[in-house]
Amino acid sequence: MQQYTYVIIGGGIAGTTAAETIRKNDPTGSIAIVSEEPYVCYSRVLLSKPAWVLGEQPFDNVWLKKDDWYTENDIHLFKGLSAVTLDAGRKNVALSDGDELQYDKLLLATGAHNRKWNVPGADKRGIHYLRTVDDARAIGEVAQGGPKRVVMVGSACVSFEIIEILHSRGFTVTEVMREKYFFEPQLSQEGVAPIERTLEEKGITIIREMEVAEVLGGDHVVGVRLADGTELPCDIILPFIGVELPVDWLKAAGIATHKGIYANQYLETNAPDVWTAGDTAECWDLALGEAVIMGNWMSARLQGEIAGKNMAGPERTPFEQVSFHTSHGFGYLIGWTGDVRPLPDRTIVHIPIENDEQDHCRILVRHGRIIGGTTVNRPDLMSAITKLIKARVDVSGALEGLRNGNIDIKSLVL
Amino acid sequence: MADLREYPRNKEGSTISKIVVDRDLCIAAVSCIAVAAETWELDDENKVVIKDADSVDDATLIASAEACPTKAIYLYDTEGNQVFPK
Repeated sequence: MQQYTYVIIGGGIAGTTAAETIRKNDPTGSIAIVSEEPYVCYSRVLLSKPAWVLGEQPFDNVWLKKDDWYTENDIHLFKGLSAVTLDAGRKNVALSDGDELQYDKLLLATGAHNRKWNVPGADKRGIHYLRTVDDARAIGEVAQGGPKRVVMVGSACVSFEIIEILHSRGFTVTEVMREKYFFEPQLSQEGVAPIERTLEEKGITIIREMEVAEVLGGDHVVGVRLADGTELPCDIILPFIGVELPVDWLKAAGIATHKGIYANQYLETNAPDVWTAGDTAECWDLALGEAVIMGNWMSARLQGEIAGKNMAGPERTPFEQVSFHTSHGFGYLIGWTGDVRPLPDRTIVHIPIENDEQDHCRILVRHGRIIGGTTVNRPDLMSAITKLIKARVDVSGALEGLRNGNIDIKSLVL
Repeated sequence: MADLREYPRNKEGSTISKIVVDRDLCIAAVSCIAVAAETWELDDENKVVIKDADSVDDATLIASAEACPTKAIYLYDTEGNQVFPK
Protein backbone atom coordinates (compact mmCIF):
# COMPACT_ATOMS: atom_id res chain seq x y z
CA MET A 1 0.00 0.00 0.00
CA GLN A 2 1.35 3.37 -1.01
CA GLN A 3 -0.12 6.74 -0.10
CA TYR A 4 -0.40 9.79 -2.39
CA THR A 5 -2.23 13.11 -2.03
CA TYR A 6 -3.29 12.91 -5.66
CA VAL A 7 -3.78 9.73 -7.65
CA ILE A 8 -4.48 10.07 -11.37
CA ILE A 9 -5.68 7.06 -13.34
CA GLY A 10 -4.65 7.59 -16.95
CA GLY A 11 -1.41 8.99 -18.35
CA GLY A 12 -2.77 10.62 -21.50
CA ILE A 13 -3.13 14.31 -22.17
CA ALA A 14 -5.98 14.78 -19.64
CA GLY A 15 -4.24 13.00 -16.76
CA THR A 16 -0.83 14.51 -17.50
CA THR A 17 -2.17 18.05 -17.86
CA ALA A 18 -4.00 17.58 -14.55
CA ALA A 19 -0.76 16.51 -12.85
CA GLU A 20 1.06 19.48 -14.33
CA THR A 21 -1.65 21.88 -13.13
CA ILE A 22 -1.79 20.34 -9.65
CA ARG A 23 1.97 20.75 -9.31
CA LYS A 24 1.71 24.45 -10.27
CA ASN A 25 -0.94 24.98 -7.59
CA ASP A 26 0.37 22.60 -4.92
CA PRO A 27 4.18 22.41 -4.83
CA THR A 28 4.37 19.74 -2.13
CA GLY A 29 1.41 17.32 -2.42
CA SER A 30 2.49 13.90 -3.67
CA ILE A 31 1.23 12.91 -7.13
CA ALA A 32 1.01 9.52 -8.84
CA ILE A 33 -0.11 8.78 -12.40
CA VAL A 34 -1.12 5.23 -13.32
CA SER A 35 -0.74 4.58 -17.05
CA GLU A 36 -1.86 1.45 -18.84
CA GLU A 37 0.70 2.05 -21.55
CA PRO A 38 4.37 1.62 -20.67
CA TYR A 39 5.20 5.12 -21.98
CA VAL A 40 5.37 8.78 -21.05
CA CYS A 41 2.63 11.12 -22.30
CA TYR A 42 2.47 11.42 -26.08
CA SER A 43 0.45 13.15 -28.79
CA ARG A 44 -2.18 10.65 -29.82
CA VAL A 45 -3.32 12.78 -32.76
CA LEU A 46 0.06 12.28 -34.46
CA LEU A 47 -0.40 8.53 -34.63
CA SER A 48 -2.61 8.69 -37.73
CA LYS A 49 -0.65 11.43 -39.53
CA PRO A 50 1.30 10.54 -42.69
CA ALA A 51 4.74 11.82 -41.66
CA TRP A 52 4.72 9.61 -38.57
CA VAL A 53 3.10 6.52 -40.01
CA LEU A 54 5.47 6.60 -42.97
CA GLY A 55 8.56 7.34 -40.88
CA GLU A 56 9.29 10.67 -42.60
CA GLN A 57 9.45 12.38 -39.21
CA PRO A 58 11.39 11.06 -36.24
CA PHE A 59 8.87 8.96 -34.33
CA ASP A 60 10.28 10.45 -31.12
CA ASN A 61 8.41 13.68 -31.86
CA VAL A 62 5.28 12.00 -30.50
CA TRP A 63 6.54 12.20 -26.90
CA LEU A 64 5.19 15.28 -25.15
CA LYS A 65 7.08 14.67 -21.89
CA LYS A 66 10.44 13.15 -21.02
CA ASP A 67 11.13 10.83 -18.09
CA ASP A 68 13.01 13.74 -16.48
CA TRP A 69 9.89 15.88 -16.44
CA TYR A 70 8.17 13.42 -14.10
CA THR A 71 11.21 13.29 -11.81
CA GLU A 72 11.71 17.07 -11.78
CA ASN A 73 8.07 17.63 -10.88
CA ASP A 74 8.05 14.84 -8.34
CA ILE A 75 5.29 12.96 -10.16
CA HIS A 76 5.47 9.20 -9.83
CA LEU A 77 4.51 7.49 -13.11
CA PHE A 78 3.39 3.88 -12.78
CA LYS A 79 3.93 2.60 -16.32
CA GLY A 80 2.15 -0.36 -17.83
CA LEU A 81 -0.36 -0.78 -15.01
CA SER A 82 -4.10 -0.36 -14.88
CA ALA A 83 -6.51 0.27 -12.04
CA VAL A 84 -8.77 -2.72 -11.44
CA THR A 85 -10.95 -1.83 -8.46
CA LEU A 86 -11.90 1.31 -6.62
CA ASP A 87 -13.09 1.58 -3.03
CA ALA A 88 -14.38 5.16 -2.90
CA GLY A 89 -15.27 4.84 0.77
CA ARG A 90 -11.80 3.77 1.91
CA LYS A 91 -10.26 5.91 -0.82
CA ASN A 92 -8.09 3.30 -2.36
CA VAL A 93 -7.43 1.90 -5.81
CA ALA A 94 -6.11 -1.59 -6.52
CA LEU A 95 -3.71 -1.93 -9.45
CA SER A 96 -3.24 -4.78 -11.90
CA ASP A 97 0.01 -5.84 -10.20
CA GLY A 98 -1.79 -6.30 -6.85
CA ASP A 99 -0.44 -3.10 -5.29
CA GLU A 100 -2.87 -0.60 -3.72
CA LEU A 101 -2.80 3.18 -3.79
CA GLN A 102 -4.38 5.25 -1.04
CA TYR A 103 -5.48 8.72 -2.18
CA ASP A 104 -6.81 11.96 -0.76
CA LYS A 105 -8.03 13.03 -4.19
CA LEU A 106 -8.55 10.89 -7.26
CA LEU A 107 -8.82 11.72 -10.96
CA LEU A 108 -10.34 9.24 -13.41
CA ALA A 109 -8.85 10.06 -16.81
CA THR A 110 -8.98 6.58 -18.24
CA GLY A 111 -9.62 7.58 -21.85
CA ALA A 112 -11.30 5.49 -24.51
CA HIS A 113 -10.55 2.03 -25.81
CA ASN A 114 -11.11 0.88 -29.35
CA ARG A 115 -14.32 -1.02 -29.81
CA LYS A 116 -13.38 -4.59 -30.44
CA TRP A 117 -14.46 -6.01 -33.75
CA ASN A 118 -16.56 -9.05 -32.97
CA VAL A 119 -17.18 -10.76 -36.30
CA PRO A 120 -16.19 -14.45 -36.61
CA GLY A 121 -12.50 -14.70 -37.43
CA ALA A 122 -11.61 -11.27 -36.05
CA ASP A 123 -8.81 -12.82 -33.98
CA LYS A 124 -6.68 -13.73 -36.99
CA ARG A 125 -3.31 -12.15 -37.68
CA GLY A 126 -3.37 -9.22 -40.09
CA ILE A 127 -6.01 -7.23 -38.23
CA HIS A 128 -4.82 -3.91 -36.81
CA TYR A 129 -6.39 -1.33 -34.55
CA LEU A 130 -5.07 2.17 -33.99
CA ARG A 131 -5.08 3.87 -30.62
CA THR A 132 -1.79 3.33 -28.86
CA VAL A 133 1.86 3.89 -29.71
CA ASP A 134 2.31 0.15 -30.16
CA ASP A 135 -0.66 0.02 -32.56
CA ALA A 136 0.82 2.92 -34.53
CA ARG A 137 4.23 1.27 -34.76
CA ALA A 138 2.64 -1.92 -36.08
CA ILE A 139 0.63 -0.02 -38.70
CA GLY A 140 3.73 1.99 -39.61
CA GLU A 141 5.62 -1.23 -40.26
CA VAL A 142 2.84 -2.47 -42.56
CA ALA A 143 2.55 0.89 -44.36
CA GLN A 144 6.30 1.12 -44.93
CA GLY A 145 6.42 -2.42 -46.34
CA GLY A 146 5.27 -3.55 -49.78
CA PRO A 147 1.81 -2.61 -51.07
CA LYS A 148 -1.01 -4.83 -49.88
CA ARG A 149 -4.74 -5.25 -50.25
CA VAL A 150 -6.49 -3.70 -47.29
CA VAL A 151 -10.10 -3.74 -46.14
CA MET A 152 -11.00 -0.73 -44.00
CA VAL A 153 -14.04 -1.00 -41.73
CA GLY A 154 -15.58 2.18 -40.33
CA SER A 155 -16.03 5.62 -41.83
CA ALA A 156 -14.75 8.26 -39.43
CA CYS A 157 -11.60 10.42 -39.19
CA VAL A 158 -8.97 7.79 -38.49
CA SER A 159 -10.15 5.56 -41.36
CA PHE A 160 -10.16 8.55 -43.69
CA GLU A 161 -6.62 9.57 -42.71
CA ILE A 162 -5.15 6.07 -42.86
CA ILE A 163 -6.78 5.40 -46.26
CA GLU A 164 -4.86 8.33 -47.72
CA ILE A 165 -1.59 7.12 -46.21
CA LEU A 166 -1.98 3.53 -47.45
CA HIS A 167 -3.18 4.69 -50.87
CA SER A 168 -0.07 6.88 -51.17
CA ARG A 169 2.00 3.71 -50.65
CA GLY A 170 0.26 1.86 -53.48
CA PHE A 171 -2.13 -0.20 -51.34
CA THR A 172 -5.39 -1.41 -52.85
CA VAL A 173 -8.04 -0.04 -50.51
CA THR A 174 -11.62 -1.24 -50.08
CA GLU A 175 -13.70 0.69 -47.59
CA VAL A 176 -16.67 -1.14 -46.04
CA MET A 177 -19.07 1.04 -44.07
CA ARG A 178 -22.33 0.48 -42.27
CA GLU A 179 -23.26 4.10 -42.99
CA LYS A 180 -24.54 5.66 -46.21
CA TYR A 181 -21.47 7.89 -46.53
CA PHE A 182 -18.26 8.96 -44.75
CA PHE A 183 -18.73 10.92 -41.50
CA GLU A 184 -22.49 10.28 -41.37
CA PRO A 185 -24.38 11.92 -39.67
CA GLN A 186 -22.02 14.69 -38.64
CA LEU A 187 -21.66 16.02 -42.16
CA SER A 188 -24.30 16.18 -44.86
CA GLN A 189 -24.27 13.74 -47.75
CA GLU A 190 -23.87 16.65 -50.22
CA GLY A 191 -20.92 17.97 -48.22
CA VAL A 192 -19.16 14.63 -48.29
CA ALA A 193 -20.01 13.74 -51.93
CA PRO A 194 -17.00 15.58 -53.46
CA ILE A 195 -14.67 13.93 -50.95
CA GLU A 196 -15.98 10.47 -51.80
CA ARG A 197 -15.78 11.29 -55.50
CA THR A 198 -12.09 12.11 -55.07
CA LEU A 199 -11.49 8.82 -53.25
CA GLU A 200 -13.25 6.83 -55.96
CA GLU A 201 -11.39 8.65 -58.73
CA LYS A 202 -8.17 7.59 -57.04
CA GLY A 203 -9.24 3.95 -57.17
CA ILE A 204 -10.57 3.43 -53.67
CA THR A 205 -13.63 1.18 -53.60
CA ILE A 206 -16.36 2.30 -51.21
CA ILE A 207 -18.98 -0.26 -50.20
CA ARG A 208 -21.80 1.49 -48.34
CA GLU A 209 -24.47 0.22 -45.94
CA MET A 210 -22.68 -3.08 -45.65
CA GLU A 211 -21.11 -5.17 -42.92
CA VAL A 212 -18.42 -7.79 -42.86
CA ALA A 213 -19.98 -11.14 -41.89
CA GLU A 214 -16.81 -13.16 -41.50
CA VAL A 215 -13.06 -12.92 -41.75
CA LEU A 216 -11.64 -15.61 -44.03
CA GLY A 217 -8.33 -17.41 -43.67
CA GLY A 218 -6.47 -19.82 -41.43
CA ASP A 219 -4.04 -18.30 -38.98
CA HIS A 220 -3.75 -15.13 -41.08
CA VAL A 221 -6.40 -13.06 -42.86
CA VAL A 222 -6.91 -13.89 -46.54
CA GLY A 223 -10.19 -12.08 -47.11
CA VAL A 224 -13.62 -11.14 -45.85
CA ARG A 225 -17.13 -12.33 -46.63
CA LEU A 226 -19.66 -9.51 -46.63
CA ALA A 227 -23.24 -9.74 -45.34
CA ASP A 228 -24.50 -10.06 -48.94
CA GLY A 229 -22.22 -13.06 -49.53
CA THR A 230 -19.58 -11.26 -51.61
CA GLU A 231 -16.04 -12.40 -50.85
CA LEU A 232 -13.18 -9.92 -51.03
CA PRO A 233 -9.60 -11.16 -50.88
CA CYS A 234 -7.30 -9.02 -48.72
CA ASP A 235 -4.03 -9.14 -46.77
CA ILE A 236 -4.89 -6.87 -43.87
CA ILE A 237 -8.01 -5.46 -42.20
CA LEU A 238 -8.21 -2.23 -40.24
CA PRO A 239 -11.45 -2.13 -38.23
CA PHE A 240 -11.78 1.40 -36.83
CA ILE A 241 -15.31 1.13 -35.55
CA GLY A 242 -15.42 3.61 -32.73
CA VAL A 243 -14.60 3.54 -29.06
CA GLU A 244 -15.75 2.05 -25.79
CA LEU A 245 -15.38 3.75 -22.46
CA PRO A 246 -14.12 1.44 -19.74
CA VAL A 247 -16.52 2.23 -16.88
CA ASP A 248 -17.63 -1.18 -15.58
CA TRP A 249 -15.04 -1.29 -12.79
CA LEU A 250 -16.28 2.13 -11.63
CA LYS A 251 -19.94 1.18 -11.73
CA ALA A 252 -19.10 -1.56 -9.24
CA ALA A 253 -17.63 1.15 -6.99
CA GLY A 254 -20.83 3.20 -7.05
CA ILE A 255 -19.57 5.87 -9.46
CA ALA A 256 -22.45 7.24 -11.52
CA THR A 257 -21.92 6.38 -15.16
CA HIS A 258 -23.82 6.36 -18.41
CA LYS A 259 -21.71 5.83 -21.52
CA GLY A 260 -18.92 7.68 -19.74
CA ILE A 261 -18.34 8.81 -16.17
CA TYR A 262 -20.92 11.37 -15.09
CA ALA A 263 -19.61 14.66 -13.78
CA ASN A 264 -20.93 18.14 -13.08
CA GLN A 265 -19.46 21.25 -14.71
CA TYR A 266 -16.60 21.19 -12.17
CA LEU A 267 -15.71 17.68 -13.35
CA GLU A 268 -16.66 16.24 -9.96
CA THR A 269 -18.17 12.76 -9.99
CA ASN A 270 -20.86 11.67 -7.51
CA ALA A 271 -18.19 10.28 -5.14
CA PRO A 272 -16.41 12.61 -2.70
CA ASP A 273 -12.92 13.70 -3.82
CA VAL A 274 -13.21 11.93 -7.18
CA TRP A 275 -12.97 13.91 -10.41
CA THR A 276 -12.97 12.87 -14.06
CA ALA A 277 -11.50 14.37 -17.26
CA GLY A 278 -10.86 13.54 -20.88
CA ASP A 279 -12.43 11.11 -23.34
CA THR A 280 -14.18 9.11 -20.65
CA ALA A 281 -15.82 12.08 -18.90
CA GLU A 282 -19.50 12.71 -19.53
CA CYS A 283 -19.75 16.11 -17.97
CA TRP A 284 -22.42 18.74 -17.66
CA ASP A 285 -22.19 21.28 -20.45
CA LEU A 286 -23.39 24.67 -19.28
CA ALA A 287 -24.15 25.95 -22.78
CA LEU A 288 -26.04 22.85 -23.95
CA GLY A 289 -27.74 22.05 -20.66
CA GLU A 290 -26.95 18.35 -20.85
CA ALA A 291 -24.13 15.94 -20.04
CA VAL A 292 -21.88 15.28 -23.03
CA ILE A 293 -18.83 13.24 -23.92
CA MET A 294 -16.40 15.40 -25.86
CA GLY A 295 -13.88 12.82 -27.08
CA ASN A 296 -11.34 15.15 -28.60
CA TRP A 297 -7.84 16.35 -27.80
CA MET A 298 -8.68 19.96 -27.10
CA SER A 299 -11.35 19.16 -24.53
CA ALA A 300 -9.26 16.43 -22.92
CA ARG A 301 -6.40 18.87 -22.38
CA LEU A 302 -8.60 21.62 -20.96
CA GLN A 303 -10.59 19.23 -18.77
CA GLY A 304 -7.30 17.96 -17.38
CA GLU A 305 -6.29 21.51 -16.57
CA ILE A 306 -9.62 22.40 -14.94
CA ALA A 307 -9.79 19.14 -12.97
CA GLY A 308 -6.21 19.67 -11.77
CA LYS A 309 -7.01 23.20 -10.67
CA ASN A 310 -10.15 22.09 -8.86
CA MET A 311 -8.38 19.18 -7.17
CA ALA A 312 -5.64 21.46 -5.84
CA GLY A 313 -8.34 23.93 -4.73
CA PRO A 314 -9.58 25.96 -3.03
CA GLU A 315 -11.53 27.56 -5.92
CA ARG A 316 -13.86 25.63 -8.21
CA THR A 317 -13.68 26.49 -11.89
CA PRO A 318 -16.31 25.21 -14.33
CA PHE A 319 -15.33 23.55 -17.59
CA GLU A 320 -16.66 25.61 -20.47
CA GLN A 321 -15.40 25.27 -24.00
CA VAL A 322 -16.45 25.31 -27.61
CA SER A 323 -14.27 22.47 -28.76
CA PHE A 324 -13.47 21.39 -32.27
CA HIS A 325 -11.39 18.95 -34.19
CA THR A 326 -10.26 18.46 -37.76
CA SER A 327 -9.35 15.72 -40.17
CA HIS A 328 -7.25 15.89 -43.33
CA GLY A 329 -7.00 13.75 -46.37
CA PHE A 330 -6.88 13.89 -50.16
CA GLY A 331 -6.60 17.69 -50.09
CA TYR A 332 -9.62 18.20 -47.87
CA LEU A 333 -9.62 19.82 -44.44
CA ILE A 334 -12.75 18.89 -42.54
CA GLY A 335 -13.63 20.73 -39.33
CA TRP A 336 -16.15 20.00 -36.59
CA THR A 337 -17.02 22.79 -34.16
CA GLY A 338 -19.18 22.57 -31.04
CA ASP A 339 -22.07 20.11 -30.91
CA VAL A 340 -22.51 18.66 -34.41
CA ARG A 341 -25.14 16.02 -33.66
CA PRO A 342 -28.12 16.58 -35.97
CA LEU A 343 -30.74 15.82 -33.30
CA PRO A 344 -34.44 16.60 -33.86
CA ASP A 345 -34.34 19.80 -31.78
CA ARG A 346 -31.79 21.46 -34.07
CA THR A 347 -32.29 23.33 -37.32
CA ILE A 348 -29.60 22.60 -39.87
CA VAL A 349 -28.69 25.52 -42.08
CA HIS A 350 -26.54 24.99 -45.13
CA ILE A 351 -24.48 28.12 -45.78
CA PRO A 352 -23.85 28.80 -49.48
CA ILE A 353 -20.17 29.59 -50.03
CA GLU A 354 -17.83 30.09 -52.96
CA ASN A 355 -16.64 26.94 -54.66
CA ASP A 356 -19.62 25.09 -53.21
CA GLU A 357 -18.92 21.99 -55.35
CA GLN A 358 -15.83 21.26 -53.24
CA ASP A 359 -16.14 23.27 -50.05
CA HIS A 360 -18.95 23.15 -47.57
CA CYS A 361 -20.37 24.79 -44.49
CA ARG A 362 -23.36 24.00 -42.33
CA ILE A 363 -24.46 25.14 -38.92
CA LEU A 364 -26.76 23.65 -36.29
CA VAL A 365 -29.10 26.07 -34.57
CA ARG A 366 -31.11 25.49 -31.40
CA HIS A 367 -33.37 28.07 -29.73
CA GLY A 368 -32.07 30.73 -32.12
CA ARG A 369 -28.43 30.13 -31.26
CA ILE A 370 -25.69 28.32 -33.15
CA ILE A 371 -24.50 25.30 -31.18
CA GLY A 372 -22.32 23.59 -33.77
CA GLY A 373 -21.03 23.59 -37.31
CA THR A 374 -19.09 21.57 -39.85
CA THR A 375 -16.89 22.90 -42.62
CA VAL A 376 -14.91 21.50 -45.50
CA ASN A 377 -11.81 23.48 -46.53
CA ARG A 378 -12.83 26.60 -44.60
CA PRO A 379 -10.88 26.96 -41.34
CA ASP A 380 -11.72 30.67 -41.35
CA LEU A 381 -15.45 29.87 -41.12
CA MET A 382 -14.71 27.39 -38.32
CA SER A 383 -13.27 30.22 -36.37
CA ALA A 384 -16.30 32.48 -37.01
CA ILE A 385 -18.69 29.69 -35.98
CA THR A 386 -16.67 29.03 -32.81
CA LYS A 387 -16.97 32.70 -31.85
CA LEU A 388 -20.71 32.80 -32.54
CA ILE A 389 -21.30 29.71 -30.42
CA LYS A 390 -19.17 31.07 -27.59
CA ALA A 391 -20.89 34.47 -27.58
CA ARG A 392 -24.34 32.78 -27.79
CA VAL A 393 -25.34 35.28 -30.46
CA ASP A 394 -29.04 35.19 -31.30
CA VAL A 395 -29.12 34.44 -35.05
CA SER A 396 -32.84 33.68 -35.36
CA GLY A 397 -33.42 36.86 -37.39
CA ALA A 398 -30.52 36.06 -39.71
CA LEU A 399 -31.29 32.44 -40.61
CA GLU A 400 -33.02 33.21 -43.88
CA GLY A 401 -30.21 35.54 -44.93
CA LEU A 402 -27.61 32.93 -44.01
CA ARG A 403 -29.50 30.29 -45.96
CA ASN A 404 -29.83 32.34 -49.14
CA GLY A 405 -26.38 33.89 -48.97
CA ASN A 406 -27.48 37.48 -48.32
CA ILE A 407 -25.80 37.50 -44.91
CA ASP A 408 -22.11 36.67 -44.49
CA ILE A 409 -21.78 34.55 -41.36
CA LYS A 410 -18.54 36.34 -40.48
CA SER A 411 -20.44 39.64 -40.28
CA LEU A 412 -22.44 38.30 -37.32
CA VAL A 413 -19.31 38.00 -35.18
CA LEU A 414 -19.36 40.85 -32.69
CA MET B 1 17.08 19.75 -38.21
CA ALA B 2 13.66 20.91 -37.30
CA ASP B 3 12.05 23.36 -39.66
CA LEU B 4 11.50 26.30 -37.29
CA ARG B 5 10.02 29.60 -38.33
CA GLU B 6 10.38 32.64 -36.08
CA TYR B 7 8.09 35.63 -35.84
CA PRO B 8 8.77 38.78 -33.79
CA ARG B 9 5.96 40.19 -31.64
CA ASN B 10 5.93 43.87 -30.75
CA LYS B 11 2.63 44.25 -29.00
CA GLU B 12 2.56 47.00 -26.43
CA GLY B 13 2.33 45.72 -22.87
CA SER B 14 3.03 42.13 -23.92
CA THR B 15 5.72 40.06 -22.26
CA ILE B 16 5.95 37.75 -25.29
CA SER B 17 8.31 39.01 -27.96
CA LYS B 18 8.88 35.98 -30.17
CA ILE B 19 6.67 33.23 -31.59
CA VAL B 20 8.21 30.11 -33.12
CA VAL B 21 6.40 27.46 -35.16
CA ASP B 22 7.90 24.02 -35.71
CA ARG B 23 6.65 23.32 -39.22
CA ASP B 24 7.59 19.65 -39.01
CA LEU B 25 5.22 19.22 -36.10
CA CYS B 26 2.38 21.30 -37.54
CA ILE B 27 -0.38 19.01 -38.81
CA ALA B 28 -2.86 21.80 -39.55
CA ALA B 29 -5.22 20.71 -36.81
CA VAL B 30 -5.93 24.48 -36.79
CA SER B 31 -6.70 24.48 -33.08
CA CYS B 32 -4.67 27.69 -32.83
CA ILE B 33 -6.76 29.31 -35.57
CA ALA B 34 -9.99 28.51 -33.79
CA VAL B 35 -8.68 30.17 -30.64
CA ALA B 36 -7.06 33.17 -32.36
CA ALA B 37 -8.04 33.55 -36.00
CA GLU B 38 -6.62 37.09 -35.92
CA THR B 39 -3.15 35.69 -35.28
CA TRP B 40 -2.88 32.51 -37.33
CA GLU B 41 -3.62 31.31 -40.85
CA LEU B 42 -2.77 28.33 -43.04
CA ASP B 43 -0.24 28.70 -45.85
CA ASP B 44 -0.14 26.85 -49.18
CA GLU B 45 1.65 23.90 -47.61
CA ASN B 46 -1.12 23.53 -45.03
CA LYS B 47 1.15 24.72 -42.25
CA VAL B 48 0.23 27.40 -39.77
CA VAL B 49 1.90 30.78 -40.21
CA ILE B 50 1.48 34.12 -38.48
CA LYS B 51 -1.08 36.51 -39.97
CA ASP B 52 -0.67 39.22 -37.33
CA ALA B 53 1.63 38.56 -34.38
CA ASP B 54 0.33 41.55 -32.42
CA SER B 55 -3.40 40.97 -32.79
CA VAL B 56 -4.33 39.31 -29.49
CA ASP B 57 -3.42 39.65 -25.81
CA ASP B 58 -0.94 37.33 -24.11
CA ALA B 59 -3.61 35.13 -22.51
CA THR B 60 -5.25 34.43 -25.88
CA LEU B 61 -1.91 33.84 -27.58
CA ILE B 62 -0.89 31.35 -24.87
CA ALA B 63 -4.31 29.67 -25.11
CA SER B 64 -3.85 29.28 -28.87
CA ALA B 65 -0.43 27.65 -28.32
CA GLU B 66 -1.82 25.41 -25.58
CA ALA B 67 -4.58 24.21 -27.90
CA CYS B 68 -2.03 22.73 -30.34
CA PRO B 69 -2.21 18.93 -30.15
CA THR B 70 1.42 18.50 -31.21
CA LYS B 71 2.99 21.37 -29.21
CA ALA B 72 4.30 22.96 -32.40
CA ILE B 73 4.08 26.54 -31.10
CA TYR B 74 6.75 28.03 -28.82
CA LEU B 75 6.54 31.42 -27.12
CA TYR B 76 9.51 33.43 -25.80
CA ASP B 77 9.68 36.48 -23.53
CA THR B 78 11.75 39.63 -24.10
CA GLU B 79 14.69 38.00 -22.27
CA GLY B 80 14.65 35.08 -24.69
CA ASN B 81 13.28 32.63 -22.13
CA GLN B 82 10.79 30.08 -23.37
CA VAL B 83 7.45 30.80 -21.68
CA PHE B 84 5.49 28.07 -23.51
CA PRO B 85 5.64 25.11 -23.39
CA LYS B 86 7.25 25.17 -19.96
